[in-house]
Amino acid sequence: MTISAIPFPEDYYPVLQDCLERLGDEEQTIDSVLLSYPRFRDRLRAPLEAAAWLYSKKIMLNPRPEFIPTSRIHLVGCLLFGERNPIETRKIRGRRTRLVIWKNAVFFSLLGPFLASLLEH
Amino acid sequence: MINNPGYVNRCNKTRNSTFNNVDRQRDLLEKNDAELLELVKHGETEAFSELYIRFAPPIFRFLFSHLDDRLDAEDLTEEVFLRLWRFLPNYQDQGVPILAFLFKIARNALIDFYRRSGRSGGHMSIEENPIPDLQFDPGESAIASLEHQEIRQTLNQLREDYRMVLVLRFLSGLSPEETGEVMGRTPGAVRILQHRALSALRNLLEI
Repeated sequence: MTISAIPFPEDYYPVLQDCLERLGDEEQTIDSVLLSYPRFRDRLRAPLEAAAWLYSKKIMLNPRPEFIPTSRIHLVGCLLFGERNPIETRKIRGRRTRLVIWKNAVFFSLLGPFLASLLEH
Repeated sequence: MINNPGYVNRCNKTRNSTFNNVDRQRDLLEKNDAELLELVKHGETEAFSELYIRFAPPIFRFLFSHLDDRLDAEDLTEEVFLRLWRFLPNYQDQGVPILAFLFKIARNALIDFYRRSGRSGGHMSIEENPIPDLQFDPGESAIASLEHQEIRQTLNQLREDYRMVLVLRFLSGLSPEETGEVMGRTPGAVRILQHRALSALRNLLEI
């Protein structure tokens, strides 16, 4: 019978929880945590290794350092001045800017030569 | 939203609040989550701002673990807090911690995002967004991007509830009680689920 096939005693889950919390403190290793629970050592190792892998990857998912302060100011500004939705507003503003650029480009390309000839005369 | 009189009143009230009051900021730092929430309910943007600083990082990590693009995760993080601001007048405190409430909003925002972009949750291909990072060092950015893809690829091989419990517990840092609130399970059920999810994850890892 393999270890995983043996039913888990009731006190296993609180023990796992305690080990996970201590592992999350970053001051303890899997081996040091397992020393406290020799009875469950074989069962605990695999989940603790997986948890250690997750903890080691957590930093990769952190926001950029400038994101929180910048977006905080942006969000509060939106609430104070009643913008509907900052994300939507940003998109609309982007579209409007592009429209103005296009309008100006068309205007100057059509009327530019005409105005230049007027100036020459 | 803009036609909602309650919302407009709260916005008008908050316009009068002072944003740079150092004493006030110190006072807010000492408040617990429930006290902050109460202030936010009354339209205090400074309290909202403090709430954002406390909870935006775990919400961002949760969203980014489900998305390929960092910018999408940033946009959605803002959206989650805006939804919180809008929902708060109707929010009844039923003992649900604010963090669990925020994660419920984040989950819904993620579902809406998938719906808008016509994608199914959590199984997007890596090729869709090949350069998802904004960091300046290209080498560092490439490594970060690869590591992020590795996390996403590995977690995507797990069942949805396994992935959810692992992300909430280990990447977002929720307690079993808070995870239970988000997932609609008892803390005991979360402990059993996390054990199974960790064992399944260990089988996938080459360590």
